[in-house]
Amino acid sequence: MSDFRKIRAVAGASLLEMVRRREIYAALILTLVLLTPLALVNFFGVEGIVRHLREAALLLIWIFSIIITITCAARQFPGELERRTILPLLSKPVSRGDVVLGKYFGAFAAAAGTLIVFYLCYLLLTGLTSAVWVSLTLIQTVFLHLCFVGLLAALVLAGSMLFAPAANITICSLVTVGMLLFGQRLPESAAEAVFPANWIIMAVHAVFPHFEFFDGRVRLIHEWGPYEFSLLGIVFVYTVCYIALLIIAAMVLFKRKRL
Amino acid sequence: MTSKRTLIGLVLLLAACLLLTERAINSHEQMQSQAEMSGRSLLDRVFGESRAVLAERMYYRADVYYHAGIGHADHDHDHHHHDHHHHDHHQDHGHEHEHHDEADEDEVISALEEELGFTDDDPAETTPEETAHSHALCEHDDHHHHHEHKPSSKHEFNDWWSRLNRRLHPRGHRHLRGAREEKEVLPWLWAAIRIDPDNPQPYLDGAYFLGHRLEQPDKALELLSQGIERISEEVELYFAKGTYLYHLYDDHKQAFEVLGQGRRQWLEQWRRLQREESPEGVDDEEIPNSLLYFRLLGYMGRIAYDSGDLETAKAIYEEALFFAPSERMRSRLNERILDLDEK
Repeated sequence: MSDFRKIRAVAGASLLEMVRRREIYAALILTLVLLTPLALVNFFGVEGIVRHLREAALLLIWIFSIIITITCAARQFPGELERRTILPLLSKPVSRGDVVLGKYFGAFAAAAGTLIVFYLCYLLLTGLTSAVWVSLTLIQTVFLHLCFVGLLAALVLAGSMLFAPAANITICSLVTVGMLLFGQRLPESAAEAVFPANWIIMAVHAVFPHFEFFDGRVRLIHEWGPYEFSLLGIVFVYTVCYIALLIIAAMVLFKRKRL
Repeated sequence: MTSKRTLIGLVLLLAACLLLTERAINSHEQMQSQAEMSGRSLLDRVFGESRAVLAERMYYRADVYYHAGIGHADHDHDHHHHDHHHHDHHQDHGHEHEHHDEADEDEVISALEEELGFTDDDPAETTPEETAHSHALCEHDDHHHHHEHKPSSKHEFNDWWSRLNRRLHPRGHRHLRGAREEKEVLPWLWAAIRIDPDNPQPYLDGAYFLGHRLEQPDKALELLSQGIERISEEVELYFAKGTYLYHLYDDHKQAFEVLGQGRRQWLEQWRRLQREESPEGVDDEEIPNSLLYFRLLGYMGRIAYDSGDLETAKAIYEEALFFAPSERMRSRLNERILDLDEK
């Protein structure tokens, strides 16, 4: 059995487990229930207004994608370790590295699949309202969002090797939301702060994953035009490098873990 | 079997959610009518004083949308912060003029002369866009005409991540252009009105966008009428409605009537203030906007003059003399009065 097949088998099992869980469907239904009335509101009798709907839809997609990705990735190892089901898995001809990779791809596939479904709903809702369907900016925004989900899944998976599940979810949520909200302004904050706060902020700026790179909402909502492809390439390389570092760290930690 | 049950469960859940939404809307309407009957709106009961803050936030969002999603913090490093509090808008524009240099003041006076038909051009040819309407969202236009926007270098960091962020995220100063884009500010103005219906600014901005930018004057007038019904003491709403009737409908008679209502409101407020004046003096915010009153009289005089009612026009211009914002404007008014005397 080749390494790729082993990883695919582990990932498939993880993905199946995620699909069976109900929260993904609940999130989807909640999004539709919240957005449908918003799409039907009449603003002074003017038709074809769409940006507020885009904004609300994208905000919900971002919130749910963060929740789903973090919960998916965070429960990959702790559950297996607690139930001791990791032992029969490791008794098969798979290495610990393969298990980490498989779990990562399983979590990523589940989160990415959900994200695609969310964006299809977004497309349907905004398309019906504005008669504008697929655009290059939308495709690029989805691509960046998928990169975000991949990076976040890797961060949470690596975190699950170090922290207890609750602590991991809390820390990763804070880092994600914090970087999304303040990531762009960290250098300015550091310039205004005094020692040692400025050093800490600059260290965060240098080391923490810059999740704000992936947030293309303003560009998409307000039609600022597509990204340069070279720019997307840089972000993709950044994401792949960061994911690789985190997965390697997770592999090393998992190999050292006493089961 | 299990998946079928799950599917049925999900469909039932969705149906329940929709039913609940409908029920919530109905009960909200009922509660609202009850609250209105008791003299206090539902929003007042739920939010209290935080309503104004929330409405302010909605109004700010309209401004952000007008600038294509970029808030002032992102595009206005070099410029002084533009305060959005709607009360500022009611301050006498005369105070604002003090901060302008002479060239700016000349421009303002020229715009006023044009608006009130004191230029050599045919007054009827003055388009509504050329007049100085009250639309705070667009006030930035003027500001940025005077101060060309240059990106700040003071806060530009040149590390990799900052450079990447600058290239990834839209920056700069851009306004919505054309009806397709400009209608996008309306949901936020709509929300601001719903949350705090006693704030006149969203009515004025909403009417401006509907009337001038989206070419839907009926809806603009309807919105202004709603505003007048709700805040009948707000002279600016009468002024806006009167000028819209004048420019967009060419209905001078109706415009004169509405402006007359505004004039009565202004005078009533002024007299009330005179009666209540305390020895400590009057709070600046309470003083009715005299420039607005001058503009209102200017329009009324212009309508009377155009319709051939020279006596009324003369009386109105004589009253306007007291409120003329500058010597130049006063002399233009005097010229017009002398001209009327000769006729």
